[in-house]
Amino acid sequence: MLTRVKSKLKTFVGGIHPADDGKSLTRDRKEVTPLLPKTVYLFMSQHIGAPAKPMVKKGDIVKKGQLIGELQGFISANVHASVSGKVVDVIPWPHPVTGMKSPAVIIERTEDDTWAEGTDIVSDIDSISPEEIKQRIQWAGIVGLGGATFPTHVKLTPPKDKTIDTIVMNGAECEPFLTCDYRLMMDKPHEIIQGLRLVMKCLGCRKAHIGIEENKEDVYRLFKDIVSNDPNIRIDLLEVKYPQGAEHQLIKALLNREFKPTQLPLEVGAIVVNVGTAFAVYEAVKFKKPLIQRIITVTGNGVERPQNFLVRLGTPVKLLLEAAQVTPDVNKIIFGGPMMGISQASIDAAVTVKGTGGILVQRDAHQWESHACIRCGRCVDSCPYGLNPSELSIVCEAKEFNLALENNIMECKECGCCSYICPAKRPIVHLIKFAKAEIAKQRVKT
Amino acid sequence: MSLLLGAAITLGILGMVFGIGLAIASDKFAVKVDPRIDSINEVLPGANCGACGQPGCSGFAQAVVEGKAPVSGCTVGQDAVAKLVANIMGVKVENKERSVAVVMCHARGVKNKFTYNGVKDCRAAHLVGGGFLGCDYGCLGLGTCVEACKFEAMYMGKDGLPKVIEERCTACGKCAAVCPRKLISIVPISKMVHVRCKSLDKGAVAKKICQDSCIACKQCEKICPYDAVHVQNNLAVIDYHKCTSCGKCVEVCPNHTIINYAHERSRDKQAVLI
Repeated sequence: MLTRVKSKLKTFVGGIHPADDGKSLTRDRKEVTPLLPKTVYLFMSQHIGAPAKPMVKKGDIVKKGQLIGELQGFISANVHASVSGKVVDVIPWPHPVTGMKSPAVIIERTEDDTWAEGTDIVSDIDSISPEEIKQRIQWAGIVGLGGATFPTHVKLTPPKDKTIDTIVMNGAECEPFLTCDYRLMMDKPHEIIQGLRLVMKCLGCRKAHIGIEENKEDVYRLFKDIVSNDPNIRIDLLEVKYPQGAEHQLIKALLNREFKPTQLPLEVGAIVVNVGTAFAVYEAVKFKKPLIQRIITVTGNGVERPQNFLVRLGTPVKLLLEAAQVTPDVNKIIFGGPMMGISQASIDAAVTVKGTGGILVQRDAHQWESHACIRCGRCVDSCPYGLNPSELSIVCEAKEFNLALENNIMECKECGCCSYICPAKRPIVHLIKFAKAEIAKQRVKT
Repeated sequence: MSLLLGAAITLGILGMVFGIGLAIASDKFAVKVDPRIDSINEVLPGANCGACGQPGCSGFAQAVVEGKAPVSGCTVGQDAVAKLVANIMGVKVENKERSVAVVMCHARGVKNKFTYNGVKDCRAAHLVGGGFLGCDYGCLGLGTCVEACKFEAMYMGKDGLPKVIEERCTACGKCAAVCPRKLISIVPISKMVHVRCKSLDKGAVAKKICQDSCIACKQCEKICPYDAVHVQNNLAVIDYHKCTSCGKCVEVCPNHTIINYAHERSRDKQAVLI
C-alpha cells in the first residue's frame, strides 16, 4: 500500500486495485445470436424513481417494442415488451435488485419476432431537433445502463440555472469481471460516438470527454481514430482502479472538478453517460427502437463457457446459465460485478433487468466470519469519498444512527472498497445499507 | 498578619456583594415551574422508553400538566402510575386493562432460501433478498426485538422464536416497532385466541412453505358466533373488540394456526423457570 507507484495516468485519490480483475475470461467472447426466452418477466420498476404504470392486462397480445408500462411522475421511465407474444399475467414477482416482490408483466413468446407499429423506422439524425431527441429518449425508456439506472431523459433535463459544458462518457468499466461495455465498444464504436453526439446536440453542449481504463488500450486507439478530426471530443486513458467509472471519480480524473458526494455532476457543469446508454440513445433516435435488449456478461468460475450474450430484458437467468454451461456445484450468483453486485436469493425466480450488466457465477464463494475492527485504517485509505468506514461500521453496528449521520453516512455510495479491503472481513457496506434504510424509515415517520 | 486580614476582608466583601446579587437575581429572574411536573416525574418509571409518544419521562410529565397527554398515558407504569399521576393532577382515572406483546408467528420447519452471512439483525437481514427465510412473512429469529426490549421481558426460545415474559411486559411497543415484518402485536392480556401467522400467500403456496401457516380456508369465519374472525388477503384476522376468546375457531383450524394462548402461556412460564 505504502509503496504504491504513482501512476502518470489520470485518476482519483483512494480506491482499490483488485489482484485479478477476471476480465480475461470474457474479453474476447463476442455475443452470439440473441437468446430468445420462452417467457419474459418485465418489471414495472427497472429504474430509479416511480414505477411505470402497466398498460396491458392478462390475455393481451403484444408485439416486440410495444409500450407496456407508461412512466409516472418526473423521475420514471417507460417499459416496452421485449418479445412478441401473449400477456400471461401481471403479478408481483421477486425483484432481483430489491429482493422484494414488485409488479411484473409476464409475456409468453410466440414465434413471430417482428417490431410493433411505430418502431423500427430509420430517421435522418442530422436534421433532428434537440427536443425531438429528448422525446425519443424518453419514449424509448432509456436509463443509465452503467448500473445506476437513472432515467436518461431526466438527466438531459437540467435545471434552468445550471449550464452543462461537457458530456463525460464513461468507458472505464472498472467493475472486475464485467466486459459487456468493452465488447460493445469494440463492436459498435461508430454507433457509440454517434450516440454521444446526439446527447451533445440534445443539450447544446459542444465538448465531450471520454475516459477509458488503461486495460482497454485497443478501444482507446479505435476511438481515437474515429474522433481524430473532431477537436471537441477528447479521449484519455485512465489508471486501472476501482471505482474509476463512478461519476465523482471520473469527473475528478478527467476534468479535475470536484463536488460533494451528495450533489449531482451538473453542479460542476458535467453529465456522465455510459457507453451502453450512448448506444441505446443512437438506436432509439436513429432507428426508433426502444430499449429491449442489452449485452450481459455471464462469467465466473461457476460456468464452463463464460461469455457475453445479447439478452432481451426480462430473460430468466436459468436460460443464460444453461447457455453458459453452468456447473452443478454453484453456490453464489451475483447480478452485476463482484464489488457492487447483488446476490440472488433464488435461481428460479431471478430475471434480468435494464441495469443488469453482468451475472457472476461462483462455485467456491467464501463464507467469511467477521471480527472486531482492528483499526488498521485500510478502509479509510481506500474510501474514494474520504469517509471513515471503520467508524461508520462501528456506530452502525451499535445502532447509533444519529452518530452515523454525524459521520456523513449519506455521502457513502456503497462502492464496496472498504468491505473488499477489510482484513477483519467486517460487513461494512451491509451495515451502512442497513443504517441508511433505518434512517430513511425514521425520516418517513417524522 | 495584615496581609491575611486584608485578604479576608476583601474576600468577605466580595462574597457579600455576589451573595446579594445572586439573591436578587434568583428572585427577579426566577423561572416558574409547575411543581406538579416534578412530582409527576418522580412517580414515573424513569425508563425514558418513549412508548407514550413523548420525549422521555420528563417530557410526558410536562405534557400531562399542559393537558397534551392523558394521565393514563404511561403504558409502562400502567394502573398504579396512572392513579398516582391522576392524584397529582386532581382527576379520576378508570381502570384500564393491561396489554402485552404477542408474537404472531410460530413457524416450524420453514426452510431457508439461502445461507445468510451478514449483519445479525433482523432489519438488516430483511434487506437482503427480502430475508433468508423461505416464508416472506415469518420470523427471522435474529432477536432484534429481544435486543430492543428495555425491560428484559423477551428472550429467544429454543425453537428460534422470541418469547414474551408477560409479568415484565409493559406494552411499550418497542419490539413491535423494530420488527421488520410487523409480527408483534400489542393485545389486551385477557384475549387468549390469536392467529399466529402473517402470511399473505395463497393457501396452497403457504402450506408448502410452512406447516403452521394460515391457508385461508375460512373455517374460523364460518364457526365464529361473534363475527370476530374474517379472512382478508388470504389471512384470518381477529377483531379483538368482538372476540370473547371462546375458542371455537381454535378447534376447527385445520393447520393449528389459530391457537389458544392460555396453553402457550403456561408453557412459556415453565421455560422461564428452567
